[in-house]
Amino acid sequence: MNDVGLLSAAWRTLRRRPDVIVAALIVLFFAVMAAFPRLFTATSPRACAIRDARLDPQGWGSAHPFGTDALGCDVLATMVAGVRPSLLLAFVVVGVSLLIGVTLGLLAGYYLGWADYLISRTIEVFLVVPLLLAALLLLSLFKNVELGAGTFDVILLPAVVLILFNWMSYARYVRASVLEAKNLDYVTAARSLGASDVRIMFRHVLPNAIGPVTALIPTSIAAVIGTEAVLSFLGIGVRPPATSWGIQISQGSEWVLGGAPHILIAPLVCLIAAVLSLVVLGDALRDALDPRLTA
Amino acid sequence: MSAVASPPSDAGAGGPLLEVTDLAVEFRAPDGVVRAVDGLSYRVEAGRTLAIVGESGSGKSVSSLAVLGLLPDTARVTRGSVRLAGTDLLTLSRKAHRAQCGDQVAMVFQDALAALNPVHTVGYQLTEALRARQGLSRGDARRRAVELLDMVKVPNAQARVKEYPHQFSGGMRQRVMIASALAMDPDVLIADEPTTALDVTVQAQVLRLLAEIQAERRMGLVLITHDLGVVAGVADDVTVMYAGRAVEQAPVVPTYTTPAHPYTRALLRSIPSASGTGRLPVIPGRPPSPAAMPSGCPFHPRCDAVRDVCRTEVPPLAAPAEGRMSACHFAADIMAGVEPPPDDAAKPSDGGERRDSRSLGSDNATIPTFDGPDNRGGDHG
Repeated sequence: MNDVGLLSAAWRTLRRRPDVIVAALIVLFFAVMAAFPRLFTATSPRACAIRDARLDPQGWGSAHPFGTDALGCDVLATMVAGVRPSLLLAFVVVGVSLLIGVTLGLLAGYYLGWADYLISRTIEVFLVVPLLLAALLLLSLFKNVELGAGTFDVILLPAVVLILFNWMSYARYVRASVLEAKNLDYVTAARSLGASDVRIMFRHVLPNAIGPVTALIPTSIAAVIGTEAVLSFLGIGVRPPATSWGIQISQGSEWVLGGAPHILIAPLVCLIAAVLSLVVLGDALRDALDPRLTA
Repeated sequence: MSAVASPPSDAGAGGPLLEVTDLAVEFRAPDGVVRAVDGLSYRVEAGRTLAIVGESGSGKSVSSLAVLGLLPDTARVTRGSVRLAGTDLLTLSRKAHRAQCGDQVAMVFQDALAALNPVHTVGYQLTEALRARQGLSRGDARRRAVELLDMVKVPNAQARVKEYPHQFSGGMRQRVMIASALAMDPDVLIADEPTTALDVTVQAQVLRLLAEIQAERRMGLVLITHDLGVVAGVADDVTVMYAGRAVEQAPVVPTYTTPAHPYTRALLRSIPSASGTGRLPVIPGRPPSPAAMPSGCPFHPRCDAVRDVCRTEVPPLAAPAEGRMSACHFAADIMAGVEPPPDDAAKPSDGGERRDSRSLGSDNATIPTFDGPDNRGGDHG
């Protein structure tokens, strides 16, 4: 009964905020783009003609609405094709790291002792290993493995690398807030009524400790999309011929001062719009789910 | 070694519900071990209320946390037993101990806002234990939550189960806290300063409610408080704690009329009274730090009737009269309202003897803050 009440109350609060509606529409727009790329462009991102390289944007309705990139590929088509791997990678990486980080942080903060020792040291080990070094290592390990070309196959390697080096910050944040929350009276009160450790952790401590982490999620989504471009440069990003916003941005940045800024601007605007919308949504969701802020 | 002599009019047939015997709790501190509770014993019978009175740091809360197995990791019970309906809780495993909590013994916390989880509705929190442990369905749980709120006299319970703790006023929140402690129908309820965070009129309402519920269900109630005024109205027995020990244990009325320990006497004098004029007597000094206990009687640096023997010998908890327990070398004198003999006189060999070499007036004169002849309003002796 209480979950339904909370969600409907959350929906009522969200509806009253126009920025939330706009943000939701933008996220929906990209979701549709990822699901049905054909709606947005008929051009294939792989139909590149080098003689058409670096054409300026020609406006809607023409052959290359957003122009072409350094290799003569259509910018709009590349962008549309990049939505799916980029967003999928971002959500998979953030989702899985969140799961790992929250679980480990909760266990470490709640039980302390040897569990905390083990988890905290592991966090430190992962923090001191440089991302690129580890990425190169994994690259050499998986160099000869054929992963296929399915939607998930193309993002598998960058997802593994990014998850391995992403979960620590969540774990640390959760551990710190759990340390704070677990000594509060309501936790003692739940214990005095005979609640089990698992129940206390997930029903009483976690909902009160998750706040700082939810604020972290939208920005890490942006960071994941950006880092993926770096991994692509090393050859372990999204597998070609699939493409992503990150790859497009890193290629476009080479031509900003070379007379073709549109190659960068188009995917960058999309990335900023998507991330900003997620920030607004995340913020609104946090406010709506916290009963203290719901009047 | 039961401490409070069982009251004569006790109705409970099968012995005490909760019996704490010689409990000692120690905390690990950076500079050694600190003993927070030292040899505390008390018993609570069905349908009776025991008030545990003491200043902050006297060990009254720590002892109740020990009963519920809620001590922090740095603390451990070094001695004693806690028998709940015959089972020693302290020998149980952590899990078995917790299973007893809520079901047989439950606790009401001091600050209800802090003790209620801000992210769950009141209805959810009231019945969480029932749903988790007795597998109540959602509908049944909701009906039970409304019943519980009705029982603690929260108006419009039907609508209020869906609200969150921050939407309740202080007094209503404390009622919710009480209701959630009662959800599992415990035999013993421990209320740790349940009215401290409330204003005076609400305090009275909440106390009356606790007393009513206790009488109705024939629960044992342990009321922890630092306010002797609160005790008078509700309690049957009183245990006064000082520096981790019980210094006086007795039924409530004699405690008020003839306190048997200088600490109790001083506490009673420092209750403000409407008829009082002049300055309110206070107890000088501060309670000793458990890390640096004074030698002899722990109360001697603040005692207005201190004698040489108090500085060297720890007074045992003994019975100066039928049904009374006091940890004072001169309990009989204090009870009789006379000052103990001066140091050059013979040491008190037995407590029953009445010494009337001193007048009652000198009793008052030893209180340092005494401020003129017209302050007898503050004196309950």
